[in-house]
Amino acid sequence: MQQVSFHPLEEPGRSAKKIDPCALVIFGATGDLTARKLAPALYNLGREGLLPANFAAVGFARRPKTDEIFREEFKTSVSQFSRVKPVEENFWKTFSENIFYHASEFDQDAGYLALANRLKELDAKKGLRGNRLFYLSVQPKYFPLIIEKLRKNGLIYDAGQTDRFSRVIIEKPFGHDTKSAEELQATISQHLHETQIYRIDHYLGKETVQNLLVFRFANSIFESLWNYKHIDHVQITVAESIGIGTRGHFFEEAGLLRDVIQNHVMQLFSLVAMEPPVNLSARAVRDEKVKVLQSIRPLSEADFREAAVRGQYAAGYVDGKEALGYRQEKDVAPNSSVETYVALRLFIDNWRWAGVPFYIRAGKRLPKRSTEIAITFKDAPGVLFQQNGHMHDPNVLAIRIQPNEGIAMKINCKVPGLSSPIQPVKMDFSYGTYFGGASIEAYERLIWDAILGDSTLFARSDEVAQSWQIFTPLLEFWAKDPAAPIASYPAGSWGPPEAENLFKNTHRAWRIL
Amino acid sequence: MNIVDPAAIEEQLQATWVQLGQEKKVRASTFNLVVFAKQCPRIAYYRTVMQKMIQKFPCRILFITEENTPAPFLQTAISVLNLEDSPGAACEQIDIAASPSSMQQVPFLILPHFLPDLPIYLLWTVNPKEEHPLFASLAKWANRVIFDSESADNLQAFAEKLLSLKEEKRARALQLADLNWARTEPWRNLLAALFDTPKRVRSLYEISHIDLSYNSKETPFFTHITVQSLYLVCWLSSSLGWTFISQKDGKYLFQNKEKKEVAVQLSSRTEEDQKPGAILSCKIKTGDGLEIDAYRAPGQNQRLQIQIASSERCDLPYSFPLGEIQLGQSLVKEIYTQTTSSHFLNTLSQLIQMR
Repeated sequence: MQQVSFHPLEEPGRSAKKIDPCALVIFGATGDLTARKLAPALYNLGREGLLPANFAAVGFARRPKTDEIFREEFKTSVSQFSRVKPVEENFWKTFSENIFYHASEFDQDAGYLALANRLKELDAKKGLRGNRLFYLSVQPKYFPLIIEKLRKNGLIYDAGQTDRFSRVIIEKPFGHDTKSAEELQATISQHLHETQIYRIDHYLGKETVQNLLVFRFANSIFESLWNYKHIDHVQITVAESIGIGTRGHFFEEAGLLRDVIQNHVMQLFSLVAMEPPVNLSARAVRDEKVKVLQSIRPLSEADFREAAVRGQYAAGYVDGKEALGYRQEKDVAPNSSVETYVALRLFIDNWRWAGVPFYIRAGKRLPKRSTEIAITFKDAPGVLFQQNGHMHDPNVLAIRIQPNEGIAMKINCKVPGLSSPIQPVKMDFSYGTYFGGASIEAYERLIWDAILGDSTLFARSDEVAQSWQIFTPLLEFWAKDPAAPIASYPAGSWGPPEAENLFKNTHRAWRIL
Repeated sequence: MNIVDPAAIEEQLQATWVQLGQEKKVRASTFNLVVFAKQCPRIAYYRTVMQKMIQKFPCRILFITEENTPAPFLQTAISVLNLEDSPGAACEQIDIAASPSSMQQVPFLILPHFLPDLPIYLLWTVNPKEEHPLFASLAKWANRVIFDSESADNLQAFAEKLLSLKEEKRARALQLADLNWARTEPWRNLLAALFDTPKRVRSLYEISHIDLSYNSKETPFFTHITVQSLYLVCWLSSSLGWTFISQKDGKYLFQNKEKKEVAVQLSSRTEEDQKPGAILSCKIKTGDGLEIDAYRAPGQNQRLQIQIASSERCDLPYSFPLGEIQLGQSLVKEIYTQTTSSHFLNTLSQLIQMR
């Protein structure tokens, strides 16, 4: 029987998703994020025919400049940071005609009115139908101001409008603790419905992160093992070999827990630990993520001391070169007690994960850039293949988020020969080997989803709130005595020795990546 | 060997493998092997051992050489090692050469280049009695540390050091091994096999004399030619509960559990076609009239002639394949053995007694 689709010319599951025309306004258009990520993302989406046929991108920033100058800067960013180079001149010629610039201060109504008029002109010229997507690539302190001005000047519509849409994409951090996150949410909720807010966590745009759901729920063999009966512990590592670079100001206020753990790591955590959603709608997936975050056992006073370690990098060596210590970095206080490394032990109190520790570590100036989720399974009963009383290694499923994206499974194997020693070996799947080519970048996916109106890969307000609830007490504990010694580690090492204490009285240890 | 910037090691390796992939070559690796050696003629021997070993057991080798230069020096290089018997596979080596003054950087250079989820073995070719700043950092990551007693001028001091390391790192259950210990395995297996019946085991405890000869041939790589013989003697004495009494001019006196004397005589002769330090013959006499003579038949490298006589009978000599350790095989044996051999530890303890 033929399936009747809503549109006679569209075939469900095969036809390209219908993407509405829109104008994308980037606030902070002359900033680093626009240059490194947003400009290349738009270019590549356009190049691959994924942008709406009727589209315009408008850069909004303070410095006056012409459309032509902005287009040149845009092109420079693309030629430098795009995953595909060089810039295709033929494509660029038509693409650049959809790029515009609007200069104004963030707090001037006149600037917003002028923007509204400009966008109306573009609606008429380019058939954008009044659809608006605002990307706030600015410091979070400007979010309430900009959103308020957008609403006041008619650039944001009510969510219930069916003939056109307006959405706002905001970048992390979403507050710096529970209270500030709630305040921010309360402020922007005065002007925007939750369905209009797209909170970007670019980790969710990564192919490997999206693959977590597919891996777990499209492969029956793993789901039956994915629980306390079979899993000994989970380790999540987000390691960077770079230091804080020029972000001294920001980092001194934020620290690593706010910068990485509260958002990126908890996204990985929730995708690994969540229950299967009832379907793949944004609501269903995010409901399960919130549920698992709610199941995390709150950290107690004892946990602050025994289940959490913060560290700060000292001078060392990375990539064969001397690396400065954190306190010697630009814009960092010489007696700073801000953490550049955090290690944590968390538990989830639910049926699936009872008693299974989740060990999390993240840090700057570690030996290599590596983001990985490692599921260590329980030991097989050792009755058969013990060697001199030594148990063979446990099985480990390692999901490499970046770099060298892929999945590896460590199993035990007999060494060829007449005797029977057992050696661990790896079964390895690598994205690069199977799928080749440069895959779509995270920001390309996320911008595309925002244009489509699919919020699955964006953080919801209760997700953010729940994540802050877990960590705010710990942040307050650390803030109470900022002069308390912070564990030091040489740049280029895997963190302070104190991090080993999380495994006290167990047979476990941090993985060497 | 391609000299590369440390920051570019993985990138260069990746590019190399992409190229080799076009030739249908697969990257093979069963473990990480870190080798530390000081610049000396013996390094050539270790490189040869590596090349032999990877033919059957490809691995990622991280070869650290301490250069004899006071000036700061650090250089990294990569190479791909072909497997002669498996043309479709190859493995890789990362070389780090550093002066003593640059050695503090080496742990940071090594750390990013371990292949995750594969064991890490450390071959420490330098005398462990010489404190070296690199040892602690490398041993910390290693599943197993393999020494080479050939590096030690004083075997007792070597034994003491290993036992103290074992004690020190007890909480971490550090696994230790020695290449020379692995080389004695064929003889240990032989002796265990010869005393294989309850009656023979009783005779074992009645041993009164042992004459052990070893090859006195030396090479630039092997000069400590008594090691294997001493290991065999100490292994026997520790396994059978002998107490050391004295030693002079190669004659070792022990007392067994029955308080009877056991005399062990070590002697040497030069055999050009045998490896330096190889045990050439072992003659055992027991108090209950058993005599076992195991000796390498002339012109038969890998085989022994065994002659057994007792008070009741005299057997015809028979040939026994010794199962000699091939180059690289002693290293592999130690790599694939789990935990530290208790016999090895007891042998070391016995050695220390024999001052």
